[in-house]
Amino acid sequence: MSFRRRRVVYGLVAIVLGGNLASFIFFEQLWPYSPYPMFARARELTFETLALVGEPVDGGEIWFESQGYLSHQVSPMVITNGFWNDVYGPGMNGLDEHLRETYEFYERRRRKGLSNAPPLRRLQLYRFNWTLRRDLANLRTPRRTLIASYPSDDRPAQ
Amino acid sequence: VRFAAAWHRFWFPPRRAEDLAVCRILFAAGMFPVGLSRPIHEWGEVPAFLHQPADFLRLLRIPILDTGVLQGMEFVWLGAMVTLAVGWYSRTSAAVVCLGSLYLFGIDAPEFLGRAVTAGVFVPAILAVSYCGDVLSVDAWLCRRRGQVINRPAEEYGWPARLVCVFLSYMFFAGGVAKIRVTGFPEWMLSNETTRDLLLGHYWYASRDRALWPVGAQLLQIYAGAGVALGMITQFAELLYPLALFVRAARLTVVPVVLAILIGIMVTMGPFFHLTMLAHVFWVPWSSVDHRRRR
Repeated sequence: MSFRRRRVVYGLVAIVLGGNLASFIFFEQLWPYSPYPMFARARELTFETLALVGEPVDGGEIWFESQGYLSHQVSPMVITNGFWNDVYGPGMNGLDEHLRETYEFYERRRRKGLSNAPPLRRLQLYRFNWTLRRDLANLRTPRRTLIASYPSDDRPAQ
Repeated sequence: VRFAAAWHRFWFPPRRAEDLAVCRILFAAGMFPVGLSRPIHEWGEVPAFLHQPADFLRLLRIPILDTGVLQGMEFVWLGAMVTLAVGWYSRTSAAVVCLGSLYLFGIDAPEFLGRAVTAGVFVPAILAVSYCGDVLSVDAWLCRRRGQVINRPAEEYGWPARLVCVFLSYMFFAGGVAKIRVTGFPEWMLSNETTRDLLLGHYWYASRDRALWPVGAQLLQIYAGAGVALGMITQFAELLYPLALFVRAARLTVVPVVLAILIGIMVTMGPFFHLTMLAHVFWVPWSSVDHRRRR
């Protein structure tokens, strides 16, 4: 192999491994470099998350999981991260506005036929809290705290 | 001089062109359904407050484009995977796949959901610099038709697989060290973390996807210490993974154990490290496998 070609290969090695090494040393994630810290924390057998819950016009409730009601890319983890700053930031700034935006997005997709979601009377943001049990007796019964609701009174959203 | 020679031998082992070509075909063909299964273009219509693009896109003020434009980019990106698999404009195709992954996976919440797809950026980048289309490709067929003969040193076909394997070794070793840095050794493996993750698959989302077949609770009901046992196996396998670069016995034990762990994580917890699993094709000396099969 020529010297020039070897230099090109070592340049690539520096880009692939050098960035990852920096990410490892500073323990910072900068896509696509990562120190791969998944599952690294030792946590208790509890789980807390923010969750969107819809009240369909026909009654009952739906939990927003990965049904694709808000597009297939908006998974429950994306919802939690999206609302996190609203909920835990100072004064819950922007929460009501973002809940309204989410509701309108949901309705827009539903009316265009992009999802098979039912029409909603209300959209609510909850904090779900579970104690994880081996017998799974509390799967659908988390401790729930209502954080915000759109619309916030009893008027139908439409 | 001895160190320089060893260094050169490490990075440039002689390999057959077919080995690299088979890796190219398997990785590109395996990546195609992964790209197809993720409608990343839908980010173009999602409310902006839910956008969680990579920090570097924010810093460089690179926007999340409209759905139509993203759909076009996805089409080119997926097309490049196909041309990379068949070996037509192989290096250009690999470069397009790399850049497409960097941007498209980069807008897909990569800072907390993207660790499973980093191989989708780095492996095509490595293929783009390598001569991965010299055999078993449309490029090679066109060369033969033009009467051109490709004659390169065998080292050209060895370094790409070596770099992918070093990257994989970093990935798992860093994962093992992160557990020590954040929680401590042996505190992490003796903690409830693996038990928690096994149970969480039944309850909610630990990642983009739900557990494929949540059996963690059943496993823990059979043996309460399963979480700690699996935690120990996981952390030791991660920390020992780089040994596979130097020791054949480690290659034959640690690498399959790590693959089994990744499958176990997908089945019981949800996170699906598809491209990381796929990148393991670079460990296999395909021509030796074929040679043994024929004997």
